[in-house]
Amino acid sequence: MKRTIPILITFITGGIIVLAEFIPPWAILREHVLIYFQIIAVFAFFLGGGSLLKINCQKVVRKREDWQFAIVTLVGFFIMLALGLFKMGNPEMVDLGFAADLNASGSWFKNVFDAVKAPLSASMYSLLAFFIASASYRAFRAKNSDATVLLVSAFIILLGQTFVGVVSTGWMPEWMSFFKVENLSLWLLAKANLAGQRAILIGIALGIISMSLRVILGIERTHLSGGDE
Amino acid sequence: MLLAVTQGLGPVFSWFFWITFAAGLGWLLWMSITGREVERRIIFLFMGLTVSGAVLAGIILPVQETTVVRNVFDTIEGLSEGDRVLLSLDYDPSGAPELEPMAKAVSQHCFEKKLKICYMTLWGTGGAMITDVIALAKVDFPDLVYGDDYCNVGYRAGNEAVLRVIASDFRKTFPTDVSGTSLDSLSVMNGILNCADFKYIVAIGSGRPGIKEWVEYVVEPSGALMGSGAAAVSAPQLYPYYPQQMNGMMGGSKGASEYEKMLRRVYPKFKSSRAQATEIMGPQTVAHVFLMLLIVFANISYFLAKKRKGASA
Repeated sequence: MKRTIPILITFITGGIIVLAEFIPPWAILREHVLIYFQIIAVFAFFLGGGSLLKINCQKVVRKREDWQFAIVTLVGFFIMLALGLFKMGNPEMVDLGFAADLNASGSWFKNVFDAVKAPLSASMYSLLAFFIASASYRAFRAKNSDATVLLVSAFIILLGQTFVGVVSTGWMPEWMSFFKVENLSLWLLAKANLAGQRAILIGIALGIISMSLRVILGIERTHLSGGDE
Repeated sequence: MLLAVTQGLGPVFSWFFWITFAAGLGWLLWMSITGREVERRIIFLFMGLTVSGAVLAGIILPVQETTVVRNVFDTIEGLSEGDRVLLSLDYDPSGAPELEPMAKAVSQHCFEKKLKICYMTLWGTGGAMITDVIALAKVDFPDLVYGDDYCNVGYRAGNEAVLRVIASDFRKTFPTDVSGTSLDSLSVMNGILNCADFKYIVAIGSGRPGIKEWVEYVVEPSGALMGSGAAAVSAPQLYPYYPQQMNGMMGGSKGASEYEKMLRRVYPKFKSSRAQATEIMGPQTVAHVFLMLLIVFANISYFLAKKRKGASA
């Protein structure tokens, strides 16, 4: 029963969504199923929040490694939850009450988001530049023909993204325009890359179709906690 | 403050930056030729100094326009007053430095053309991004009226499911705007039943759900016309959809700077507005040059080491 009902739900909902593509009157059924999904997706936030609380509280109580960071997580979680739920300092509260936009300019929620989350996220992303620089120096070497092709392509794309690339081949006459860095870069992106990407996309799509059919028909059960029971 | 001081120094700081940059590169080249290993921390330091120096020196480089970006610009340019545009901002603060300038430029362009914009997002953190973009656009258009000139329907959970539903019925997922006002009472949304009713959709995103999902779940089933703005790392993966499924694309800061350039060329009034992406392109170019030189130096070092090894064997 524990497995039969989820398999039945998957079969019915999956079947409706697939068949609705071929039976136009069923489109309304598909929309209903997708709206149910949106409602269920909201509950995932409760689950996520509960899970975050449980894991971090356990970490603090049992004083596991780096438990101090868990306190920061919990404090941040509760502060943002309170600011968002009670719309603290939200200028739209006067007119709209609790219907006020969570992200209204000047609200405490938005201010804390801008002052903490925004710079932290941007900093984490910016660190990539340092790791890319280090990796370029240590790993990007023409050790064999494959590595050389990769190296040359990366070099052209990088040059093509900058004004330096445009200037470096700007002297070329019109009949050689294909060899201008910006055109070579575009050719690599729009032709060589395109062919590879399309092949990958078609492969992935076929894989998704086969996997979806296995899930809908109940053949694939690993998502129901273990497939060999 | 520091930025203002260094930019006030103007050419002096700029020259100081270039000389230091060249000297550092010379040292790195020397280390590579002599086969000595350069510590990771030194590379990090160089990258940090290169980017921050370029930012402080305020290096601005010319931008060359490309067809793929011009298609987005021309499509919006070809729309008539009162036409509706759907702008989906599917990114978070980590993608904002690249994507916010294009969202701002597209918004400015639409408002200048008196088009009506409906903002939405598929990301939980996207609501804050919408607020920022509207605030930036309002600097040049302080008289915009909410509900008449633009609206913000915000975020709904469900990723692809949200898109599949709005492709056929917008109000089933978004019956109200972000403040709970019925869409039927907003003139921006008059006559809009589904995504295909918007004259143009511009999806600006840096991950999943994002542009790829817009193509698969909205453009394909509904036949809506779409352009996009992608983070530089994800732009190459989106070329398979250009030009059939999306008629144009702005890729990273470069795409955004091209759009800013076109906007300033056609509407000189925006010359006084801050060109964020164009400002970013200077430091980004210097960082790219630094990366390329690192690759060259590393290969010089590798081949010299190989040669030495061959000679000693």
